[in-house]
Amino acid sequence: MRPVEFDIAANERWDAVIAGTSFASLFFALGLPQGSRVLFLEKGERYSHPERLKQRGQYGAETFAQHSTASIDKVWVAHSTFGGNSNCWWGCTPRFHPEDFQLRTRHGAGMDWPVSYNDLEEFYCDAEAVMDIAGGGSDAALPRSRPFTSPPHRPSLSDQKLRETSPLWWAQPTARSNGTRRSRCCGNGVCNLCPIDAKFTILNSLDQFDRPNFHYLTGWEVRSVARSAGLATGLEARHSSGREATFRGDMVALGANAIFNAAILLRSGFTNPHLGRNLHEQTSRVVWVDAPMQNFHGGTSITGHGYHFYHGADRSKHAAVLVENWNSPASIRMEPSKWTQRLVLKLLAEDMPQADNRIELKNGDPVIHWRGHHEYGLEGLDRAVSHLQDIIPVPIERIHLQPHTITEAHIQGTHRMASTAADGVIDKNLRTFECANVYALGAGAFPTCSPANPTLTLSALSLRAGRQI
Amino acid sequence: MKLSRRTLLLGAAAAALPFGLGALKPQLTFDHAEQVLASQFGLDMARSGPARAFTADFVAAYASAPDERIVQSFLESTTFLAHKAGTEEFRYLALFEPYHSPCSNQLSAPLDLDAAIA
Repeated sequence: MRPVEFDIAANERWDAVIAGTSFASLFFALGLPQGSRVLFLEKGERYSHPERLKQRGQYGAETFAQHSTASIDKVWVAHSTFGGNSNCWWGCTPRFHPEDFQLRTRHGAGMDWPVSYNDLEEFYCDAEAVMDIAGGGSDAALPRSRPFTSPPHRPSLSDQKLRETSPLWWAQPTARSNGTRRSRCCGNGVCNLCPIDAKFTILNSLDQFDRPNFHYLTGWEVRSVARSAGLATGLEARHSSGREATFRGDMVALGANAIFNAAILLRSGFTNPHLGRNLHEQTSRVVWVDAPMQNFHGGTSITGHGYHFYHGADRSKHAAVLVENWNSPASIRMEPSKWTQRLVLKLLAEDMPQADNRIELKNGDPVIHWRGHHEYGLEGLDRAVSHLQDIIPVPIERIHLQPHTITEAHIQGTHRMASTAADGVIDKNLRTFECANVYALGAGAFPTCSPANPTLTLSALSLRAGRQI
Repeated sequence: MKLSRRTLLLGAAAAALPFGLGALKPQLTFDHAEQVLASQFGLDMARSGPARAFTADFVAAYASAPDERIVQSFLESTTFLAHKAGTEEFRYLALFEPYHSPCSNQLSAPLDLDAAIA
């Protein structure tokens, strides 16, 4: 994958022109037939890992206009830079649970996806192999046909105790390396900008996407889809200098993120009534649980997962909740000899998408209308907090409940997939119902939320979509 | 089993850092940091050579810090917990700062569970 001169990019007719250079775009391209000539248009610039470390900041952070009537603050996190949010993610890569794809059928809530866990399983395996995921022990709930490419990280002291007492605690699958292909994660707790580059990023794993006909331009923001006679003819983009151009392709794919993808389609005259709606992400809280159980000394920042409120949970009235057991950054007790007798747990509840949470255009730019998380998610979270003693095998002495987090940095749902255009914007292959050669990638495709982190699933969906072509 | 309201302490520490570390105190001094360590680990430990080296570095690095931060940094930067478990001599390694010494966090280092403090 290499940069290309503007004149060449603008004069070529590409097999595919793709907006964005993060997970969705790269995995989609990886699935395309060998030899495909692909142009990636990246709004931001490319910065090396040493440059990022030098600045200690995240490049290309976006801010969004938002009208919120919610009681809980909400921030949406996105970065326009080469590699996108792969630069700042924490590398948490659980698969979605099989029931996440059948919420309506299994629980009478939300809607079913047009793809199943089994449809995605081989693509999960392939995406995990590309990212070199470390994990193990989750097979009973999340069946797999191939082993993880790396073993799980060393459990914390509390993980060891928890796993002795319940089969629903296991290692968090993660793209924070266990040393197979990148530096081994050492639990320094600053994964958003890993000092040793241990987590998978697009930048540190470009060799996984190395095809001779993959090219990219930076500084070009995709604004709309060029269409003629009912088909896309390319992507219209604007350079940071103000210059505008159309890049022609036989197909186009949008991997900008769920806010920008929706904005691009709206600007392009797409009219599906679900477009821009159902914006959502998980709602979560951190809890410190003081209990007579030693903690920490694990091999990565988040060492454990608890599925007690997720696997087999009744999701008809309230959300499933995923429990993360954090090792670093730690929180300690100010009590002699009890310093490490504290669990640091994060509880993540799925939200129920609501049509009123949406993206609209104002003067051509996206504006978010946010009314808050659904009671379904908030009640699921409350219920998990009140039942924590059920999953901790020693008497809890005290719980310190932190405020709701303001973001999970997951943006989902604005161009959801469905079986028909009456229910969604794109089909199971991420192709828009309105235009047969326009694909909308990423977590904007999610019809329902899942409490699990979205990156692995959106990557597997993109890879699968590319392979269908 | 549901937890009682008494057990649930609602968000006392609004998280300024990822998991919140309490209220900042002005103008950290060596004596104050040493007193904090003494209150947790005993006076002899706080006045030991490695602990004093830690305290000097910590005070030089941070103009102010909540007491919890001092104690946490001590556990991250020294072999105190492994020493208590009987598996290491007590040493000060380096002030743990993830971008200067990314893999020296002693709270992420292996510790023998069977030997760990009860």
